Amino acid sequence: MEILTKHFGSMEYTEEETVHFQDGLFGFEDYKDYVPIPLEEDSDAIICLQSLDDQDIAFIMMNPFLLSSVYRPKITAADRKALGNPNEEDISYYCICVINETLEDSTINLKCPIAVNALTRAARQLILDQPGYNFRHRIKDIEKDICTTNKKEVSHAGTAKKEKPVAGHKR
Amino acid sequence: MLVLQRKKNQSLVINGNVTVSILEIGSDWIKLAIEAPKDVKILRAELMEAAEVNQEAAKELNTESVNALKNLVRKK
Repeated sequence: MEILTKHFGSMEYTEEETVHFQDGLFGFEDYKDYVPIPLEEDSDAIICLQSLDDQDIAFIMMNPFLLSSVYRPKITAADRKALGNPNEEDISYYCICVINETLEDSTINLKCPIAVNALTRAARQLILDQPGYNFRHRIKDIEKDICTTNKKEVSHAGTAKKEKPVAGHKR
Repeated sequence: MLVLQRKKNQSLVINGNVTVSILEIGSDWIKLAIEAPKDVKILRAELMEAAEVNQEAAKELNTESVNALKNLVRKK
């Protein structure tokens, strides 16, 4: 199928690539279907989440685990249920970025990750109730930021999680 | 800003038509009941900020910043 995107002109995508947000995103409750477009081939580091309902709605999100080895989102039972009760290893997490004039001013939202059931591609934006994760972390010093505000959490952190990417197709 | 103290099962009335009651008090949470006319919008504060950040994120992109971001990720 073909879609007009906000940032990349016209693109081909397949039904299997799309993700469905039953409740939309916060502030975008009516927009439920998106296609994740990786900014670089075969990498889920930076993804453009393009709305299928409105060409002008697109978000830049990042794989937070590539930026921080200590980020540990804890999904609630209710949120997990809304995703169809996937196992933890089948959930991928991405965080939406606000890209400003410079990278120094650009931020990432660690408090509201997007959780995707990698098996069904059901997706949901969460609000974490964990201390130290805020709406706006400077992307450049995310690690330092978490470590200084969240020392207790860090000391409990285990090894880095292996993620199943939801976007990795070639463009 | 007005700061006042209330106990369990006590309430307060805002503007004559919004009643906020304290139903239950836990260790680090309280359960509130809010009675208000239908047109009074009640939102958890963090939901409102989450929506604001998403609105900001959906605006136009600065290409230079995106390229800088790609470089940052490549270095990782």
